[in-house]
Amino acid sequence: MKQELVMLGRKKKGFSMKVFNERFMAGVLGFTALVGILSIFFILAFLIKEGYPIFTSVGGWTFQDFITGKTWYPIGTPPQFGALPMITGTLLLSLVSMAIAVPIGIGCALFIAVVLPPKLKDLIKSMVEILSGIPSVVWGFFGMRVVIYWVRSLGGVASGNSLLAGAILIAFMALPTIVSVSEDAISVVARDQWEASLALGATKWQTIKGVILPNAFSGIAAAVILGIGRALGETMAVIMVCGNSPVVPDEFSDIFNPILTITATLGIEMAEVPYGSDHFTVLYGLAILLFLIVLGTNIVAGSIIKHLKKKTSGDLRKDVDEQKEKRGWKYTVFLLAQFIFASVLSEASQVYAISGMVLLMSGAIITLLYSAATRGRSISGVVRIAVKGALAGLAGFVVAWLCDSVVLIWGLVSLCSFLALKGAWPRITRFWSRSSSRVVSIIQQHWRKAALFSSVFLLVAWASNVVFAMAAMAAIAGVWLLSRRVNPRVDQRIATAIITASAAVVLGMLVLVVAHILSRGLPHVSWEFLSQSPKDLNRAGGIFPAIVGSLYLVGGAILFALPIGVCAAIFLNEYAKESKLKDVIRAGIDNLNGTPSIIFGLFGFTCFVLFFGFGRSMLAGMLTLGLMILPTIIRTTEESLRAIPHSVREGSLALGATKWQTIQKVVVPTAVPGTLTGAILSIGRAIGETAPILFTAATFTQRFLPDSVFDPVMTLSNNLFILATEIPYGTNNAYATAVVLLFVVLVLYSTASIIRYLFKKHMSWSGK
Amino acid sequence: MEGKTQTAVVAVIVAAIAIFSGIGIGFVAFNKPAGPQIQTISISGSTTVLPIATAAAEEYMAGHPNLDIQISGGGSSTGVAQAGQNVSDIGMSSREVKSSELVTYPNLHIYRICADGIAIIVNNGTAGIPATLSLLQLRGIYNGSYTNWNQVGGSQSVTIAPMGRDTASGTRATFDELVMGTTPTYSVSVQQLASNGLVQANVISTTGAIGYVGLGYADPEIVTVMPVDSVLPSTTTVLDGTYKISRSLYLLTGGTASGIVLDFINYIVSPSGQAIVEAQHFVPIGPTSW
Repeated sequence: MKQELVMLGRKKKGFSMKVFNERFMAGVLGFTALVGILSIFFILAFLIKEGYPIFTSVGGWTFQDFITGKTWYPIGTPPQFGALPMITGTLLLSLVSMAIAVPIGIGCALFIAVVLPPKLKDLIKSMVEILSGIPSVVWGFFGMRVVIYWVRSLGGVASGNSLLAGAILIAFMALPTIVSVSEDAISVVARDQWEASLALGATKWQTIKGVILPNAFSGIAAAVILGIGRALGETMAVIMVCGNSPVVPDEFSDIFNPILTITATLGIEMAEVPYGSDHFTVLYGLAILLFLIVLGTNIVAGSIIKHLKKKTSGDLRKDVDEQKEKRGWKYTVFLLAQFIFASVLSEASQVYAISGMVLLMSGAIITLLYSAATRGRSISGVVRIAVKGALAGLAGFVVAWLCDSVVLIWGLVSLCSFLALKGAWPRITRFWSRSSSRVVSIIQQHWRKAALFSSVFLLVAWASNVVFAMAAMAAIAGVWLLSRRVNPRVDQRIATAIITASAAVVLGMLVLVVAHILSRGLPHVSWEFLSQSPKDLNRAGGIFPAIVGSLYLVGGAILFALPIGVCAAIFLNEYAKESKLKDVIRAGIDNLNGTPSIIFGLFGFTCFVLFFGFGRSMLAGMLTLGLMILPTIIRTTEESLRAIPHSVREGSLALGATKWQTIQKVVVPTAVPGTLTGAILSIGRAIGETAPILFTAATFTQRFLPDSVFDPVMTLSNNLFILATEIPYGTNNAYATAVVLLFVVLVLYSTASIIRYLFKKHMSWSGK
Repeated sequence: MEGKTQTAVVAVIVAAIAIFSGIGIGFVAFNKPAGPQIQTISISGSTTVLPIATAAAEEYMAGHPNLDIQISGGGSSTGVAQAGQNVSDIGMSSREVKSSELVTYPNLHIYRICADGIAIIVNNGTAGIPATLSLLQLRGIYNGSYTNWNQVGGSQSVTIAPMGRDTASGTRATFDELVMGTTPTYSVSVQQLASNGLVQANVISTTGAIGYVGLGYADPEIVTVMPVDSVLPSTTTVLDGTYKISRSLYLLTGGTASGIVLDFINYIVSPSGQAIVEAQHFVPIGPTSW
């Protein structure tokens, strides 16, 4: 490449069209990239600008009042801006949905990676992808028609609109992410390790347990965190089934009660507040909070994935010792996090403080006992540590019982965990150098199991009471220990059954949703329905304007986002030098990729509708959706550019082509399939989205098609949402709209996977 | 190989362009009369007023072939805000505009179009419900003092499932003011639903449920309409004030309404508009005009 520059330099004497072209194109690309990237950062700046007063004071509410206040009544006099109900609602919803999604997701990933024959893999994987394509408003509608009836039969509020109903829906919305990322993590565990383990006589299940899962752990963790990010940001399904009642839940049975999340609050209240009022600022503050929570989870997931990539490329065993050191800390931090979470939930309720303490200690003790039992060594050392831990735990228990101060309990917990898990080690090692260092290494190895135990404990403790939780713990430990005695083959059979069952649950849900919508909706889909304007509050007539409106919106969005996104990606990958700035830009793009769509809606409403004065219009909707899919397009394009080997570029340059010529003729054409797939998937996502267009572009009824970009439009997703939630007896047309929406999305997703399949087959750099 | 894949890509792109342009260009003339410019009126806000506006719009558009009236919901607060911000041509509100809103949007013009009672509806299949509820009993149900129907005069023990509206709702604001008192406190179990339709749907499907909705949504064939202080909501009782939980419905504009917008508002308060109001189970206030 240097040579080329030198050559360009030499020719510079006279005006050269070629040089001009080069510079011009680089300039154009750079400028477009700048526009794209700046607009992305502009959203962040905008959020912060509108919402930062919550960190100082809004309407007499300080930040502390804001995040600890239990009353949300923004229209009262004086208004109440306590956001704790929404914060706990959001966190709880993610927690419960993950409790449902994680086991099923890992099981399904194992099923795809290990149990399925390779031929069927692609089929099942694309089915899981289709599951991710079902729009959230369709999920919400399915929830209103089906899931709340399941929840009703379990108890809780009579209507079934509850945290649990939302959690079930969100679990299935997050499952595709969890399955595909875990599946990748499992598949990268080297084939030879798998074979080596089988060759040593281990059963498949033993190999999965002993070799695959430990090696894939961090990848699976990343998958779960990405799933949490998805759960945190969901809006429409939550509004439709969660009951939206701003209360702080204080016991486990509350999962049957209604909750309000941050996203739902934004979705319900944003359109009603005057620009610049206290209520407005507080809603933006909530958006910042949500953004920070999602940002945090994405950063953690990102760093794990980065670490994973490093790990799989390098030697697995290299840094094992180094990691062992860290594990003790990890466990401590993990427990602390659990505990803090529990305390936040309970707000200084004694029961949780105590369960936290007991959980911490029992986690440590069980780890020790368990490892001793499995290794059968240095019982005395183990007992000594266990006694120490138990004493510390007992002391903490008593103090926690007597007082009711969260701060004190936090202090105690950190102290105890520090003593029990970190401070004790060097001393133990000194006293019993060999045997006890083995114990330590066992603890270090088994911290995950301990963590798992304590998580289960936390859930159960929350569910009922400490005694019951202890019993549950004992039962689980018993089953765990017992299972070690079971014949490995029987064990394997049970495991395979569980794994297959979880895959069946995932695919079964896909079939159930699609079949339910089709069976109820298809009878109401007719030519008239597809080709006429709506009548009678959209309960009669057709949805033609909505079909066209949806296509206009995504068409405009892609017209806006595709050129900018592709240029930005080319500039980033081909021109920009690797630098800190570029890392920051990439991180920004990645994080916006995971930003909840309601935040884009918020931004679009304030910026395009109000500030630029576009009004509720197609233009505002197109720009909002365009910004939402821009990060995805930049990312997928960059990925396909990066996949092109350098030798291809060098070959072209060596033949005398200029840089721009190389990009134009060699690089871009090879990156087309990847970009195209990304673009189609983005369209699929955009067409199903409701939250970003709810306040920016959507109107409920419309007689004609819009004839300028300043007209609002009907859209399929909004039509379904309004028919399902605001119009009595609108169910038939809601089902029919859902059928059309599903059909459009499924067509787009299958097109994308067909393109990917074709190119995977035809293009491979290693083969000829 | 290269050729094949390239063809595939080109085919997909061409197909996509064809679909978009086909729909975009081919159907632009859909349903649209040739000739004079299309006029639009955008309306948003209260879901209580929504049925009136939609029904009136359908009738009105029949006489105005070049007019497109675009209606969306969102709640009264949304209607006030969007009319005040000129995001919508007309805002719908099912409560009085608050003085604080008039300060924020001094340009608001308010047009009273009809009256309405907030009906208390109870699930049809609930056994042994009382014959009437007082305002205080209602307040007790929503603030959590009463959780069982037998505490408010019911003959059987059935848990009460109270359904309410979200904070954007004018129905909620009116209910707060007329029933819940100056500092409304709500029980944990009150659900905050986004529309009259959702409240009605949840009351229909939930045993023991009670909810409050606009009169138009109180269909005695599918829900039990509960008398308040022994008075059933009706055109007469709302107009003479014997039914306690009643209010007026409004249309709002940012700045004085003029042209086709004013004409549409006048249509709703004209005799034929008021007939539509009555047909939608609201209480007409007699023909007027602005």
